[in-house]
Amino acid sequence: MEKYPGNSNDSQFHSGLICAVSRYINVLALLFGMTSGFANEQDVYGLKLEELLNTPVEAPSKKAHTQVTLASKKAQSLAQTPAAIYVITHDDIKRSGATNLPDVLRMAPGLEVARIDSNKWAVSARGFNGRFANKLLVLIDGRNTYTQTFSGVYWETQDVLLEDIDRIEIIRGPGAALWGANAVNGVINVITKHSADTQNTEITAGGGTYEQGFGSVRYGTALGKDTTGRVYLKGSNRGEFTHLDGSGADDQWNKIQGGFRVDSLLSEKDAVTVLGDLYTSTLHQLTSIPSLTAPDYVENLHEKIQAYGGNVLTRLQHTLSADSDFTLQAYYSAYNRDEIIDHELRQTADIDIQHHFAWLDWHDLVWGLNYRYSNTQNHGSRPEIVAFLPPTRTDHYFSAFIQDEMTLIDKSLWLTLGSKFEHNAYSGFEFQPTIRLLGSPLPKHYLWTAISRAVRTPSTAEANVNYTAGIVAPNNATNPTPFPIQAVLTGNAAFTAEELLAYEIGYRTNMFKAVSFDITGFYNQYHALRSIVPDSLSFNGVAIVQPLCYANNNSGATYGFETSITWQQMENWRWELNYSFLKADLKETRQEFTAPQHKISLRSSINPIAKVTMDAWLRYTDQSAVPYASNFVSQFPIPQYLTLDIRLAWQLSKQIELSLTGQNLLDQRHLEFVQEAVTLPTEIDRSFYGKIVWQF
Amino acid sequence: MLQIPQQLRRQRKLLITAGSYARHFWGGFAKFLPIICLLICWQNNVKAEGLEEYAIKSAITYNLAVFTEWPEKTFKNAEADMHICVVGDSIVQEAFLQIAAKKVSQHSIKIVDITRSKNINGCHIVYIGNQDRMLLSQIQNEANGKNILTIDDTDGFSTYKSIVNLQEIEGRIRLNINVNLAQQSNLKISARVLKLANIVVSNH
Repeated sequence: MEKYPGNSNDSQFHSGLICAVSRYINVLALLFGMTSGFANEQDVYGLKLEELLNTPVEAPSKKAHTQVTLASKKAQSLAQTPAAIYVITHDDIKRSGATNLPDVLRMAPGLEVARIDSNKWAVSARGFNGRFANKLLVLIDGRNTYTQTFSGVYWETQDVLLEDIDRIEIIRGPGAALWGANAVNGVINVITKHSADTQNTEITAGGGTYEQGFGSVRYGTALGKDTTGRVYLKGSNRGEFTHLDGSGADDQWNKIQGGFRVDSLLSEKDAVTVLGDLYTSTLHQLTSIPSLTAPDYVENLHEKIQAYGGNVLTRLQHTLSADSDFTLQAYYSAYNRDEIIDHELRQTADIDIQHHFAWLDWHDLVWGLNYRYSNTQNHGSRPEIVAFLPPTRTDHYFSAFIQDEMTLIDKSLWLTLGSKFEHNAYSGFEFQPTIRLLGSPLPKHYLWTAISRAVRTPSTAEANVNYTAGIVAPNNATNPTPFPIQAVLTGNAAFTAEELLAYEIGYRTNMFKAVSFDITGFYNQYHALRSIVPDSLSFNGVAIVQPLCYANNNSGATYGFETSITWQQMENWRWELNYSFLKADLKETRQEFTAPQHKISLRSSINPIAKVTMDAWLRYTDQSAVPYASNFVSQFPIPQYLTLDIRLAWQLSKQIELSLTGQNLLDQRHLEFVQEAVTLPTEIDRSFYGKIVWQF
Repeated sequence: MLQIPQQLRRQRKLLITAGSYARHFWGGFAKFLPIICLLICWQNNVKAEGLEEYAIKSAITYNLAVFTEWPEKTFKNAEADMHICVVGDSIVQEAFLQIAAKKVSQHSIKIVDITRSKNINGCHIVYIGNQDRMLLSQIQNEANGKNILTIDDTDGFSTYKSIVNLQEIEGRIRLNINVNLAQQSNLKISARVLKLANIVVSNH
């Protein structure tokens, strides 16, 4: 110091700089989770029990360990699943502020969820979205929600008590080898909690601008030794959204749903579950349909659609031996839906058996048989516009599957071979195999690849419908004749199944302490996709009829990748970023939905102070385009949009939680989708609601 | 007055330049100050940083092994191995292998993967780490009355309980201990553990 006066400052500054830099580097290193900080795996075994019970459990690894059943019909950990699987947890749902199932699904990468209007959604995976999207299989507690009329799902009638969901498992890509036709681009299973886990009373109530009032009561109780049950009732009243011209869309709706679940252990080898739901709903709709009698060939009607239905499911699990078990599941579901263009009554009964056993130490086999009965009655009150021929139809489906998971190298290489074999009344016999390879070259690193074939079997509409999609007025440039031209979508009994050959590769890791990472790339090759082919004209005395027949002339490929990163930045702050990229290269593009190329979802979950949680959820969806019946020539463009939801919650006491949620905050309103026909383009309004949850 | 060597002077100049750059740099960062503060907060928070679920759960199991008293006859002699049998996937198994090097008094720990065989004979502790309620009830049924400490981590407040149930609540592990079942199995769990646990009294 004495030797070099004047240098002391420098050296102080020097050390200060080094300190700052090293601190910064340290922070950066921590940022990317490269160091494990103070508490590492080696130290944990030296901790006292008190300390262990006070150590926070890391969230990302917990998710990687989540047990999933969708990919192999038996429990396995998410990290070791050779498929593009994603799990939405109970906590994710609660913190999202979402009030309905499709909005919850927006959290998953690779899924396209778009709201058509107040009471309609379009949901699909890896493209091909639409109100009548047909390449996604949706299960609720193992019950298929499929509607044979269009091979898709009426999302507005699919509901459970969101508070009772244990998790939602989502697979992008084919799951047909296990789940059969329709599981072409994805499978979703909504799994509710075991009734032993809902042994209290929970009352929720809330309301706001769009969610005008909602509430639920759930009561859980023990019903005897090893038997538990719960019942629930929920209701909601939702407002209307807005047409492009600013007028009200008249799409408000209300719904009441109730249900129960009982789980019992009959013996130490037999468990039985019985569950069921009933709902009734009134859906307002401004229906816009072609008409030969209306002055401008369009009839606009305010209708109140009554939709009601229910289901009951029972599942019996029996353990045969230490490495062999058997499951029997049966369900019945029915619904009725009174739309002007289609009064639909559908009944489905399904019985499924499944046997799981280990063989020769390195084989894990599952096989099963399934029979499904389906009865539909479609009677509309405008048969000249929409008619099903025949209006009543009963179909029988038979299927079998087998899957063998082989451990090729203990703890590091697995091969799965499987296939579904099924017979349906529309396209006959179908064969849907898969081959999947999973490798773990290093602990916590998982690499998988798969090749699968899946088919989407024809819907009743594609075989039997006569649907006037549009009427071209006479005496103008497009139609110089004195008669209107009636464009009629015509079912084709020869319409066959759409085929997919999918190639997938994926990688996931949770090697970093605070970060988990998952990426999947896919190349989907489609054959015999649905197309619409004009048939020869005819004249029926009133109009010139232009039949548009369903055919299988479209084909092409889609490819892309989806990635999901979670980062536990701090004990009380978690981020999740999902990005999906999709590109389609189809022979005929105008007749299919043009999917958004880029989709981003960024969620931040923070607990700033004890008992307060704050969640922000930013979503970006690239521009897309929808085939719109009133305009066959070009598609209806949907601009890109960016939107934000924020939820703030305060745990007032152990019993009471208060929350405030703002949805779609960045715009007064925005367009997400346009239904293929019948309704007008509707924008989604910004909304707010408050909610109270009381548990005791 | 001492001469500052040329070399040092050059160094000092360099440092001052570096310093001004650094100041400029940090100045630019001023607008990100809240984020930096948060990061530093977080760095100070590292001590409370989380651990992997099964690192904690296996460490808790080890603690339970230490603080549980088995009837004398259970072990052949003071040096006999303690068998901890584990049901669960590779994530669970790998975590438990970390405690295999430890000792419980004189007993070496042996980790046995019984996911496939489900054979609990010879086990001192059975850990069920796969959320399977059926299996849990089967194993508990078989273990009843035997000197086996059964532990599970089935989510939710399960009615089909083993002696110890680990529950994750708000990011921390909580212990539920069924004292009746422990008594039936002639296991004495130390008061030190019991005072940290939620005591469950079974009705059967």
